[in-house]
Amino acid sequence: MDSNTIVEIAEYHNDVVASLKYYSKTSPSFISTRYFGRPLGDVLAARIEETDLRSAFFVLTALEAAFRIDYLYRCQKKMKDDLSRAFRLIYKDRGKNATLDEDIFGTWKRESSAPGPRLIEDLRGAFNFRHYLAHGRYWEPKLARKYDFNFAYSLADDVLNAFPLLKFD
Amino acid sequence: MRLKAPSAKGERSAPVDVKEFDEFVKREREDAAETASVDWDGERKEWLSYLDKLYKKVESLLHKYVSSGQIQLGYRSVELNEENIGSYAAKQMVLKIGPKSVVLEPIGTLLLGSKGRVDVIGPAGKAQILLVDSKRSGPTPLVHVSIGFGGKLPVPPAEPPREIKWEWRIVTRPPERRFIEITQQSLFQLIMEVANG
Repeated sequence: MDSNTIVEIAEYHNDVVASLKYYSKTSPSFISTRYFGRPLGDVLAARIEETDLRSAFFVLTALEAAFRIDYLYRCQKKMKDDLSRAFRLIYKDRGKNATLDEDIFGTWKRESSAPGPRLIEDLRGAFNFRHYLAHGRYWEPKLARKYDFNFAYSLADDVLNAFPLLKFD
Repeated sequence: MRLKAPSAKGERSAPVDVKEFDEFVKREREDAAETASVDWDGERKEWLSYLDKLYKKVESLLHKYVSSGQIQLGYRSVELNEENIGSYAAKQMVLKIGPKSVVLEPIGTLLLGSKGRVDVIGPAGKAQILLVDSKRSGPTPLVHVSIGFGGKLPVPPAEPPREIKWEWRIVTRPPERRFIEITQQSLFQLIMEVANG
């Protein structure tokens, strides 16, 4: 996983939003039968909002994959830095099933210069949101801020640029 | 909280030693001290003052349309809640253009890479306005995370201190995310994009 993955998600997102806008103006079925009685603008806004949430979800799953791949790489390649050593202790217990929040983010917070109060907490908050989306949105999440595609993309872009995440060739 | 599973002998497989616990307590105290040293009330006031400046700029750029009644411009109060700052009231700008509404919704100030964010939300989408260092043309990374060896973290190269001039900038859509100045032309384009597609 590298930043190209989230770029592709963003390009796909833009194409879908543009398509929805075009479709909403040109498709008789969009305009009439399915949404009879509901203002067209509301339907388009709802579709765009749903697309926004889905794209935010995929950006966050890509970011999770980047952290998990880095964790596995550091465990398997037996690297000598403090982070890799700490990961290997976790790996002994949990193998590839390390928890993202406590095991992976927590270790990054302890063993690197990642600014805890801001960056790691932003990551934790965003992954609470991802968790809510991944599990069917059946509860009202207590989120510290508003999450959307723009936020998820900005966070992922900043994190992928800031963290020295490793990956297999 | 996930506890490590006990081994067959009834012991934890990776016991936490006193030194590790000491380090944990020290780190948490340092984080708390860092948080306590920030003037959060001052941060909130500064952000709300910049928010007012943004609204004044938008009012002035739309003056011709608002004064002639073609666009209705109003405000609503919204409650924001940010870690360390807590709950506070902020203004949200609402533009009514014919049947369509475009809202400038303040999101908050405690953000990575910017000092404030306002979302511009319309029936055909949303966009971002960020309060950023005026010298930046895009979201260059503000932090570089390094990893320690032997319990010591490398010291990052110190940047010479300089005074940051904060300016509101429209952010183009991801993946590009370029910062562009708020002018009449860029504002009109932004409003049309979120209102009309």
